[in-house]
Order: sequence, then C-alpha cells, then structure tokens
Amino acid sequence: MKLFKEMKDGITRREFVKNAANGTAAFAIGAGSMAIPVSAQSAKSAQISGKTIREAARDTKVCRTADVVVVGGGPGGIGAALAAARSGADTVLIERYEHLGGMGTGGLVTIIPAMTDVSGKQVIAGITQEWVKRLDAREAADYPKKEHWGSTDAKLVEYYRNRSPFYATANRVGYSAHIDAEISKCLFQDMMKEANVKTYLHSWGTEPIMEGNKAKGVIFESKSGRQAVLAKVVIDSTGDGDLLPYSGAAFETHIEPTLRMSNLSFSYWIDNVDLKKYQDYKKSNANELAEKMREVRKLGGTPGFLTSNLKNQENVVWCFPRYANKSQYDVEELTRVEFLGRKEMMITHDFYVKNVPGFEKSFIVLSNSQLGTRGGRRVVGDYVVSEKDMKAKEPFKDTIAVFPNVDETNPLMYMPYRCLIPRNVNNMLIACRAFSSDAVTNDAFNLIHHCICLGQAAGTAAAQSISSGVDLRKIDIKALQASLKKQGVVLPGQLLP
Amino acid sequence: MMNRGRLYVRLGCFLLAALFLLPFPFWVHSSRIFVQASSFITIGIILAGGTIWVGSALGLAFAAIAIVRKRWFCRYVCPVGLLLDTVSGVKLSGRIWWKSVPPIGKYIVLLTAAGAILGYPLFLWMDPLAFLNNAFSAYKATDVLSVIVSLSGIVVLLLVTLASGDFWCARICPLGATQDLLENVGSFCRNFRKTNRTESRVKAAPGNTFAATRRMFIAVVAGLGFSLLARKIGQARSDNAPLRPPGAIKEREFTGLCLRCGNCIRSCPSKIIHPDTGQSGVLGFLSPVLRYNSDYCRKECNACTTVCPSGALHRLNLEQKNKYVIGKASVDTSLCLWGVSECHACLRPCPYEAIKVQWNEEAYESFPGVDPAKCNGCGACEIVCPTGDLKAIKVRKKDD
Repeated sequence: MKLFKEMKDGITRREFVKNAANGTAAFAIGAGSMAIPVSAQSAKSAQISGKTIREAARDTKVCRTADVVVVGGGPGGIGAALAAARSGADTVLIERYEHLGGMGTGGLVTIIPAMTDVSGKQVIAGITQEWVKRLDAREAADYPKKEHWGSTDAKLVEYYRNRSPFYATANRVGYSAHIDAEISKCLFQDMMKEANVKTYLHSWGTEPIMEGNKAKGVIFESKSGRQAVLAKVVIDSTGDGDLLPYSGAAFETHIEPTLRMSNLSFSYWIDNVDLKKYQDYKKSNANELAEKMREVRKLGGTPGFLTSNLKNQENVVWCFPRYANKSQYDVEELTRVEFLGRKEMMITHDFYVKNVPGFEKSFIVLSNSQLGTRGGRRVVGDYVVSEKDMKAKEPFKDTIAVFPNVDETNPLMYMPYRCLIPRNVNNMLIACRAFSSDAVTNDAFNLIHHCICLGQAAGTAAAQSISSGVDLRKIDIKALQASLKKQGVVLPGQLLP
Repeated sequence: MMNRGRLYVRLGCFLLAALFLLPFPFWVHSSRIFVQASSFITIGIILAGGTIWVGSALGLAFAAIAIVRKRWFCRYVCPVGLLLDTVSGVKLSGRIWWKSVPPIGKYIVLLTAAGAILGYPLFLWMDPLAFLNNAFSAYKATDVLSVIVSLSGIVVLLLVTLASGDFWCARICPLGATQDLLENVGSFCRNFRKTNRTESRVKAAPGNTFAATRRMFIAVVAGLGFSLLARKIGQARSDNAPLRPPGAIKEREFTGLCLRCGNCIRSCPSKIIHPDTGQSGVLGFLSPVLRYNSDYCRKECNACTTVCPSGALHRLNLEQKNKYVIGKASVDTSLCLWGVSECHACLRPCPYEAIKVQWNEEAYESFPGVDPAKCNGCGACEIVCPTGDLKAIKVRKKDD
C-alpha cells in the first residue's frame, strides 16, 4: 500500500500510462521519484557559441508541492524547517551535503559561542538550547557550569579560558559550548523526522522559481536529476544567499579583508595527542615552544590549536586556520583554499609530530567536508541592520531575536523581522548569514546560533503567513513574537528562568 | 646621655616624620617632602639636575645649619638617628672596634656628588631617610618579597647598630658625612680667614691629613669614572630595558637618580609597580619597574608622577602622563590566537583605540596590529591577551 502511495506522489497518471505503453519498468520501486531517464534516450542538442551555450529548452519535473521550502540544512535551515513544520506548515528541506548542521557539523566549527549576555543571562535559547539539551542527554557537549555564567572571578576565568578561549572572553565566563559534530548530525535527523520535514539530502538548491517578483518554489539538482519543489514560501538558508542572484533581489558582496568574516577556515582534527605531555612541556618550556611556533609559521603551518573538551576525546585537538580569499562562493577560490588548506595541514602536522612533545604518535583523523565559510552575500532587505543599531538601547517593534552584544554599555543586540525580507521580492525570506545588514554588523552576528534564531523566526513567520492567509510583510508581529516565546525564544520583555 | 631638652626635640621630630609618612588625606599616596630633609639627597638631586622645588629649601636649610653646627641634624632632628640610638647601647660586639676605620661615608658622598655632576649620583639611595620612607611603604606591598625589600634598609641599619653601636652613624651614613664635609668646608673657610696665608693649606684644615685628602680625591675621580661607566651600561640596556613608570627619565640616568624611596610603588592604585630584582641588573636593583600582571596603567591615574622626590619620575599632570610613552605594544603573530580561535580580545580594551586588525597584502593575511603613533604602552591590551604566560601582544621598551 505504501509503495503505491509513493508512486502516486511521484508521477502523474499520464506518465504512468506512457511508461507502461513504452513497456519500461519505470514504475519499479522508487522509480517514480527520479527525474532522470532510466534507459537510453536520444540526447538533446545544445548550441555552443564561444563563451555560452544555449541549452535546449527543458521541462523540469515538480517532485513535490509544499507550503514552505527551505534551501540549506545548516543552522539557519534547521531553525527554519523545524519552526515551520512544528507550526503546522508542510515543509521541505533541501540540503546539498549528506548531513544536516552545515558549518556546525560538516564545517567542523564545533563551537556555539556566547549564548549569554555580559551579565550571564541566557538570551539565545529556542532551538539552539534544544540542540544542546539533546547533546547533553548523550554527554556530547561541554560548556561552563550555569552558576558560573557571567562571572568575572579571575580564577574561574583563567580556569575556563585554559579549557577553551570561547568559554571566557573579555575576562568573563560565558555560556559557550563545544559540541560533537557526528552526534549532532544524528540529532538533527531525528528532529527533522519528528517534525515531519520532508528532507532531500545530497541535493543542491540552485535557483528560485520566479513569477515576476514572486517566488514560487525552488529548482534543485541531485543524482536524481533536475527537479522542482513548488511552495508558498521559499526560505533561503544557503548561508551565502545563493538564491539571491536569480530572485531579482538586490544584495551586497563587499567584505573588508580586515573583518573576521573575510576569511575561509579549513578545519581538521588530530587524534592520539598526549595533551598532558604537551601541557607539561608548555609550562616548563614556554619560550622554546614559542620559538617552534614561529618556525612552523615560517614554514606555512598553523601555530596553535584548540582542544576538543568532549567526553573521551582527551586526545583530540582541532585546528582552525583561516585563509584570506577573493570570494567565498567562487568555486575556483574554494578549490584553491581546499588545496592550500590540505597542504598546510600536512606541513603543520608533520612539524608537530617531529618537534612538539605530545604529538609523536598523533594522526590526522578528520578534515572538514565543508570549508568554513564566514561571509557571503548580504541581501538588501526591508531593513538593513547597521552599526548604529549595535548601540541602540530600545528593541525594534518587530524584534524576533535578541543576541548578546559587545560590552556592558551595549549588552544586547535586537534583530528585526524586516531584515529577513528581501526588498521588492515576495514570498521569500532569508534565514542565514545573508540576512540584511552592513558588513560590520554581519561580521558580529552571523554565527551558528544567530542563524538558528533567524531561521526559527523565519520558519514561524512563513507558517503563520500561510495559515492566516496574509502576506509575509503584513503578518501580525505580536502573534509571531508570542509564538516564538512559546517555542522558548528569548525576546524583549521575557526573562528566561 | 642626651639631655631632656634634646630628647624632646628628637621625639617631636620623630612624630613629625611619622606625620609626613603616614597616608593622611593631604598626601595619601606618600609625601615628597620627607626625604628632602636630607641635605645629602637634596644636594645630590640638585647636582644631578633633578627636581628643584619648594621642598628643596628644607634640605638646603639643614645644609646651611650643618656648616656652622657640627652634626646638628643628627643630634636634634634625624628620626633614624633616634631609632638607632635607642639600640646602639646593646653593642653585641662589646667594644668599639671601628675607631680607626676611615670616614667611609665621606668618600661615599664625594663619589656620589662627582657622579651627580655627570648625571649619575651613585649612592644617593644610601640615605637613612630614604630607608625610613621605604619602610613606611611596607603596608602597601603586594607580596612577601616587596615587604622584605621595603623593610630591608632600616632592618640592616638596626642590625649593624645592634652589633657595633654607632658604626653606621659615625663612619658610613652619607647624610652624616655630608654634614661633616659641610662642617669641614665651614671651618676651613673660618680658619682660612684667620690663619696666615703662607701656612700650608693642608695643615690648616683641621681633621684632614694628607692621606685623607688623597682618598677624597680618589673618591671624586672614582665617582666621575663610575658614573660614566654606569651611564654606558644603562645605555646598552635601553633596548630590552624593563618598563619604567610614566614620567621616567632616560634609563641610563634613572637607576642613579632613583632613591628607592618606594613612594611610586606605594602610590600605584593598580599595584603594577614593583621593586626590580634582576631585570635591570645590579645598577637597577630595587628600582621601580612595571609589570602588567593583573592590571594596567589606567588612563585616569597619574599618582606615581606626583610623588617622586628626586625627579627620576618627572612631575606630570594627567594629560602629560598619558602622552608619556612607557613603551610600545606589538603583536607576535606566531602566538596570536586571531587565526587560531577568532580571538579579538585586545581590539576593544585599548583606551586610545590604537589596535585594529591590519591587512597585509604581501602575506595575504590579516592580524591585529598596533598603531605606534597612538600607543603609550599602558598595558590594557596585554592583560586581556588569553595566551597564558607568554603574551601575544606585549608592551616593550622602545629606544629613548
């Protein structure tokens, strides 16, 4: 029974008859979901002329019609897909890799930084907190004790800082977590299944389907061929805003090379390190070690690493070097950095094995399957969050997320719903790093947990827009905020227990 | 045995000294005027080109008195003298063995005065009032070593006196010897007027044998020589010299003019000034150095520049103090965590906005960097750098 239902979803009756007439076994198990020919057919001709190819016109199969389609299964997409589905929308999630979690898993950026403000109050919760809680159940996360969040006690700060520089910044202990990438991949899958999100992995969302300035769905490529998903709301969670160039939306691209987010990172783990031996050596030979770090840098390697801190991973360290580049979504630059990253990884590890006590028996166990992208396009939205907003004391009327800000004078950063809406484009939301902002603000607030928050807001808004039959721009903001608060999101006026 | 009257005067002076040394609101950091009572210090400072101010009149006044009254300051005023007199009766060694010891103190004074003229008064720190001043800083010390250092001067004097009676006062104390020399000059002038011009000048100066004069001449020459040597050594150290408090004069002269009085160490609210125990060598022993261990030189404070009696630290107002360059911060990119864990700890705390991420086109990478034009070496960046004992961003002394 189930088999026929799947087949019915996948193909129309006409196709069924056509295939039957051809005598093909096209309707064999699962064949209905494929969009590529299963047997030989005459090729369609393309017109090649110098620098461009005029492809033959083609029909692209619609494989699914849904309420909300989310492109990208990273932090933004996870927030959006879960929030939309849990709010009652029929949701599709399209992810190009074979795992969910984006930078936080495949990117090996296994750190959720700063969920608390300067006083130690948690302001980022929601789906991010749910993620950490599920990791806790499997002992797959490490972070400072709750009673220490916000502490400026010098001894505590030093203790946590020695465990990880992320646990204590600016002489203050904060709630930042080291998380397990592999376990997270499993947890995200569970969460998608529980929420009934139709997920396509190994699938690259390439273009939005536009009718004028209205988004109608998304085209994606995969091993199954080129297909389309139609939806009432399209959410771009590609990180770099990959749908933007085809949507008619305006976007900014320039990133100053002095900004943190102008760098790509190439992350890798080294296993079997005798950390105690290394730390003893560092204590008693600090100057000699510093000299070695100078030398490895001269050779092109990376001086320094972080420790895993996860359970049973006392011998694992991770290296997180970063690379300047011309563009983080130019495939030639990405390839160049992959080659360079691997080369320098070898140089670094070889040097460490020979010269740094503790690394003699170590080996490279894993390198990132995604380059650590930090900055891509930024949509020009209905509101462009800028540096002056970082100094604002009052929240926006349409605040949908609160982030820890830079210092005591400006402890909180408020994000408005309007920064998710591309100007002059309808039915589309941007829920990832590409949210509408200037470069400096984007640099400060485009991290993993920030994007989850934006995604959670976007997904909830999309579902609300559909269920109330109101355009995305005109939804009831108060209702949206109430719904978010119910999901555990911290908004102005709410105190987290 | 001293008479009652003199005892009361001495007690009164001791109480006055305590008044000057205790942290009363008018001079809560520490008093500049107390050590000026020493004519040795005041004359030494003037010869060396240090601070001359209203307080100098005190030392000069006592110097004038010394010319006409032998050791009047010692007998009536010196609080250290009173202290030592109360223990000198003990005399553990029994007899006085030092009667035939030459007046070492005078040679010390001449050495110092000669050195002062060339800018390096070698033994200016060996003053009893400076020792007492330092002892009163002990309560502000941050660690056991500092307490020991503060008290060591007075303790040594007490031990010497305990063992040998008035040995220090009579033969070594440069303050006493200064008075002796001034008295010698005074009586020489008086005798010169009285005696026949044809008589040998050497014979006419009472208390001076030909050998003594020769020793004094050697002391002067030695003073000149050592002073030049000390300045040369100080110059060589300038490059990796320790950090000095704001207002400090050139390193090659600083260790000479500094009295080791402890005023600046005591005054610092951030507790970042420490007596040096090796960084600046023998010449700089116990002179004040800056260490940014847990705090830095605050923008709103200029306490240390207001309390230095000798002018080893210039007297600076707040604006001048912030313009004074303690050193320059610089980033060691092989230790810096900017590229390892996105650390940006040093960018914000700089009170002068001197630290920004800098792009290096040739190396094709970015790192935090310090604008040397804006940096005054306050250390705000150094104390937030999370790299452990070896800081990636560190303030280093720059050439004078």
